[in-house]
This record gives sequence, structure tokens and C-alpha cells, in this order.
Amino acid sequence: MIGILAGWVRHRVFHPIFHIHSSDAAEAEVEVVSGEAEGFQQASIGLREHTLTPSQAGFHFQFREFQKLMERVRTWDSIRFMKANGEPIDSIADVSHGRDGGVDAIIVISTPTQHGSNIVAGRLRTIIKTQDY
Amino acid sequence: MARREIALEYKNFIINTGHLAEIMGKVQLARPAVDEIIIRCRGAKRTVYSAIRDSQGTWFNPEGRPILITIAADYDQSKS
Repeated sequence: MIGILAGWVRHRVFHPIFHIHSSDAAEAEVEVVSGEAEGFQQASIGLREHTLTPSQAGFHFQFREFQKLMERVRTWDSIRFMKANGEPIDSIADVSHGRDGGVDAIIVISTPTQHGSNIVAGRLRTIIKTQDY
Repeated sequence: MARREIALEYKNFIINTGHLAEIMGKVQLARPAVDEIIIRCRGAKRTVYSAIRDSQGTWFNPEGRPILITIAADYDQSKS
């Protein structure tokens, strides 16, 4: 009778615990595997960025910084961007993917007064200088 | 309507006075009405900062207005 009771207790109490422990171990293994995969992915991305040519790295730098600036001043109505030849830049896709050497972008500030344009220019200068995107 | 033009230049390296002269020349040729130049770069040599500090107010655009130059660098080397 005692043996039957002990078997029932082992089956009812300890078996689920062991089962839970085994499932936790499996999840832990899965987490370790996924963590290794993320690390490998990040390492491959870093390797890819490291293998860029200087011109490609320069364009990536310009693209990132200009995109952040456009997002930051998107709601400012007095500012618009244009290229050196006067073509407007409405989105980041309009930025030319060419060699370095030209003027990258022109910011045109149009305000009713000169004092207002000075204020907008000062805020824009502070944003770019402190990188407050 | 008041209009103000700012030229924006990106450089992915540490610039020196040669790069500064190149940027000044091409901006003045491309946009005669520019009032300000902002150079966003990784860094700038100490000579660049001293050149801008000494010559601020002496550079004019073809329309006769002074050009203000601003360096926005990741690493400030002006005091090193």
C-alpha cells in the first residue's frame, strides 16, 4: 500500500517538476542558440560596415545624418532643402548618390522678417552642432 | 520675405585647412547667395578652428554679405 502511494506521489508531484525542468532547459538552449545567432548576425553586419570603401562609408554617413536632420525639422514650415543646382529635396530618396566634392545640401530659410530667419538659423545650428536629433 | 541660405557639407573624416578652403571655394562658386556654411564632420584640426576664429567676418559672399562658418564635429580637437 505504501509503495502504491509512493508511486502515485512520484507520478503526480515529481514528474511535472521534472518535466518543467526539462522544458526550461530546452528553452534555455533555444535562447542560447538564438543569442549566438544574433551575435553572429551583428558581427556580420559590423564586418560588412567595416569592409565599405571610403566613398561608400562617406555616403552612408551623409545619408544617416541627413535623414536624422530631415526627420527633426520635418514640421518646420520655414525650412526647405534643395540641391546646389536648385532642385528640391523632398525626401531622402532625392539625395544624389554621387562622388564627394559638391555641395551636399542647401537649407533655405524663408521667414517674414530677418530677425525670424536669424532665430531659425540659430536653432538649426544648435541642433546640428549638438547633434540633438 | 527674408531669405537665408545655409550650405550643409558632410565629411566622414577629420578635415584640415585644405578641406576648409575647398569647401569655401566651391560653395561660393555654386551658391553666390549663401550666408552660412555648416560642416558636419568627424573632426577638425586645431588649425581649422584657429583659421575660422581669426578670419570670421572677413569672408564675404559675392553679394557682399559675410559668411558664417560652423564646425559640427564628433570629436572636438580645438583645445588639443
